[in-house]
Amino acid sequence: MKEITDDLMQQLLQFTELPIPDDRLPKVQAELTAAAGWLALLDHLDLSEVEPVTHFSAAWEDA
Amino acid sequence: MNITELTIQTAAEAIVSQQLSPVELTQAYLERIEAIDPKITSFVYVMYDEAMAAAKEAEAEIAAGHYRGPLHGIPIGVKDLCDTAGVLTEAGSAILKGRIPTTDATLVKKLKEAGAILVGKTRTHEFAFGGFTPGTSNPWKLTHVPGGSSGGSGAAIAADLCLAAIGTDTGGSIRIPAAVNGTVGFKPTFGRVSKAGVYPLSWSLDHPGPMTKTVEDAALVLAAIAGWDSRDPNTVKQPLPDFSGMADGIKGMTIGVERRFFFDQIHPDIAQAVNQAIAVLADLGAVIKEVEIPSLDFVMAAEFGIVMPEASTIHQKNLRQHADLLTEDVRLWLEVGEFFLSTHYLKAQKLRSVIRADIQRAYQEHQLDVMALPTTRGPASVQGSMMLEWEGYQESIVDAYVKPSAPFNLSGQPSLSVPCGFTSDGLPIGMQIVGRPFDEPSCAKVGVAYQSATDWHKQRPPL
Repeated sequence: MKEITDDLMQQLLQFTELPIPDDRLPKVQAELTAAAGWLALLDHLDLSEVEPVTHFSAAWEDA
Repeated sequence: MNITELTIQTAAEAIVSQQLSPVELTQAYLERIEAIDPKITSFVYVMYDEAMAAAKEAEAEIAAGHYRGPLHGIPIGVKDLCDTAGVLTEAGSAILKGRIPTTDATLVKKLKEAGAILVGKTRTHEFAFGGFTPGTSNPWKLTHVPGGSSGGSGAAIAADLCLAAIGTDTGGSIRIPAAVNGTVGFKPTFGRVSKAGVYPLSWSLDHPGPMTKTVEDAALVLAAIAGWDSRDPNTVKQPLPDFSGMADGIKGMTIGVERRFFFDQIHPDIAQAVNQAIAVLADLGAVIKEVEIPSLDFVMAAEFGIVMPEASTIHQKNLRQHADLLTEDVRLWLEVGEFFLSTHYLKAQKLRSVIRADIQRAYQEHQLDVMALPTTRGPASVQGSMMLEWEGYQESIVDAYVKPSAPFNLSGQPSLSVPCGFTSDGLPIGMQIVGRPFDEPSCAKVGVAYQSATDWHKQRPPL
């Protein structure tokens, strides 16, 4: 799991220009760290041969 | 008239034969809302005047021989996420306080065209982003949550405050409240029902659909709101679902059961109830086949890899201009969603392809008509708690509710949740019946057969 360090959190805030008050930062940092498990999984999966879903209401060919 | 025994089907029969008037029926539901709803607060706005005016109009039309069909004169609630022209629509958020849209959501327009009587707006988790609908209580146990995000709709149906309600489902938000309140919830195929005028949470995963007391009623409402809509590019020009054969029985139908993912460490009462329900389906003549779908392990990464950035994109302005008006849990998730990279989002959409193909393979390989599975991993939780616990095992509400539901938001398949029992604590349990895309009638056929052999859907909470 990725660790969302204080430095990384500050960089993310600068990049997104999201105004998160200082007293909320630990909570956001903790929640982001919890989500980092999913993000790490997405990072590590090799999906290079897979097309993303772009047509969400597609019927199966034989449906 | 005993409201707790009425269904849309029985009320419609009484209306068309003029034994029951829409005015009498609507008045009875409005009185019941006034008497019962203070205990559960499932409605955020009750449309007393509008409902009575519409009921009088329906009564006059029917008396003049202009009967529109089975929803004519039927009291229905609409989730506060759906626009209703001239009527408060706040999506459960202080940000939209006082908002009155000028047009109806397409599904609301279709309900009105079918002659339905809108009795009020049901409570939603703020912007539909959560699974417990703060402010609403579960009619079976007032100390417990009604699930979410369509918790108001689920609680209102369970408490007999209307005959149908509309919900929306992004990661289970129709099926979860249906299951934990002991009602029927029908998430249709993605693109079957227009989302125009429905406040989005995640545009590629949101599905509006009906919540009712019986499967037959859900089919009636779904048939009324389904169809292509020029206002929603995701809707498709498929033939409307034909539910005429839903009472034909399930002899010879093939029903898949996936155990490794759906039954792993779930609440034992839920496992037992759903296994018993599957046995009932076998007794009714269905062929049960065990299936495996390995990619389901990645469901939560795909679901949240899509929901979080789509929701944060939708609310980017709200987060910068009105963050202080958001409730804490929703604000936190929207903030976190800002930090997902575009590569995460697009890989989640790729992962969705993998999961969708894997589910499709299982249906094709085993010639499945539907799958029968637990709707949730745990029952309604105690209000204020973010965790569920059973047999010494702890799980977050998010995992317990979203994990079994999300696969079919990702795949877009229709999924019908039906009541199938109670925990030893008296909390309702749901089984979901999942069909192939655009095959809602097979889901309904299995649901009707199950209801004909059981009476879980007839149980009412002690209000």
